[in-house]
Amino acid sequence: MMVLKVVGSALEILASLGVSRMASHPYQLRVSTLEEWQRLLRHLAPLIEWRRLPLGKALQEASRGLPHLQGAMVELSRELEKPDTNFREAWDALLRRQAGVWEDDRAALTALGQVLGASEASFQRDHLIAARADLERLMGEARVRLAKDGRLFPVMISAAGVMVVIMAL
Amino acid sequence: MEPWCYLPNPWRQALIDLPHPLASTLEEIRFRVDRPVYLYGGSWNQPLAHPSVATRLSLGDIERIVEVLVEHSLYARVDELRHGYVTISGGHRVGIAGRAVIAGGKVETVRQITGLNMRVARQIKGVGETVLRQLWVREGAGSWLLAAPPRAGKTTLLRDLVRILADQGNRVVVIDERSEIAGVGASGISPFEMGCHTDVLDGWPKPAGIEIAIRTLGPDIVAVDELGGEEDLAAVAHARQAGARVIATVHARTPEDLLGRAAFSQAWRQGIFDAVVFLRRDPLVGTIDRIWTQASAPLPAQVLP
Repeated sequence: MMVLKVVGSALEILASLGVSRMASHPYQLRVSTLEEWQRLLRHLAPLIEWRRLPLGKALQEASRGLPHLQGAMVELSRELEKPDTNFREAWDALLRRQAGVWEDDRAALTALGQVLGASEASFQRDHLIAARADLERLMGEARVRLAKDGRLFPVMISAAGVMVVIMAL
Repeated sequence: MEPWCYLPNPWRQALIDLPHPLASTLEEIRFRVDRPVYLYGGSWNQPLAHPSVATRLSLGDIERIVEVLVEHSLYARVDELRHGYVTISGGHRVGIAGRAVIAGGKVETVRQITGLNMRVARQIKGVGETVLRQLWVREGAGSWLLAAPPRAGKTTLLRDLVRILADQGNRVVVIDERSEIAGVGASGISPFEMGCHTDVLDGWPKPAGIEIAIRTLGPDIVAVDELGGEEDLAAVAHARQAGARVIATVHARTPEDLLGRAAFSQAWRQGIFDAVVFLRRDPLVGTIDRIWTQASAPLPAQVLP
């Protein structure tokens, strides 16, 4: 009987840990996705301003080594090679598909998509700086949410798990 | 590739569906706001009629076409826009009409684009042979200027002369400021046959390109399109002094048009060019109107400054 209780308690602890991680995952995903977007924009600036690469190629190159964004940027780059592609529509579709991009983040990135590629290099630099500032602010918010909600839920779930274990034993 | 392959639909499909006689003689496609798309051949013009194409273009249509032509990367093409055109792959030039944005007395960029003129670049092999024969008989190897009004076939003739002369073993360097002669562009590969011994300096401003060609590529012949002002002519003179022949084009309908410009008049007197070939559009594009050589056709007195 005791063995069963111990095994049950161990399973309960594992389940609590799993559920805790699941509860905090969206917050962590948002933070890591925003970090990648920031890195993407940082890499994109010289590719546009100095190397003057076509936008599709610049996005593809800037996304190298960014696991959340690379695949989407390669796909977007391929889309842009087709003469019927509307960049803003393709950009918006990418944002809708992108996991870890929340509503506020999407609004900021949509605003960037409205102006990306469509002006002289110095204006592009200004737009990218503004977008990075927006993302920096959103990143601050995301980290606060991760620290509060993202950790509160796992703690509550873990506490509930511990209570179940105590009662079971 | 034909230039309309770079257009978005519905215009691309409408142009692909053109009957062969029209498509093969098409020279220009004009897009203007609030007007139908017009097609121009050597001796004909007509609106683009297709069920999927609206009878009038909107500003948004033109913006969309420009966005696609510049590969969604206006920032990479602003230098060309400042000069009123963009060149797309294949050497096809798209002239742009719009509002000039002036900064510091210079055209910063073009906004509110209201018209596009897409010119079809073609390679017509053999057109240079007649000119070459006539010039060779009269002048031998020398430096030649091809003068003609717009759309008279200057660039097509220059391209063919480059091909023929390069295949004869001359080392030819093409200074292709607008990617129009060789059409290299972003792809890095010319869609035209340019001859075995041709190097292309793509996108280089003419004076800097000629300087580089002379210093590093050891050309027998330098080919350059659309000479403009004194700076271009000074670079050509420098190439001549360095021992290279120059074949160049310039916009001019008549000798008076050409030599009425002080810089060209002086260049002729200095013997920078050994011959000037005047072309005209009728009865056919690229028809030789007359050939002037230093020996056979001295300057008329009235055009000397």
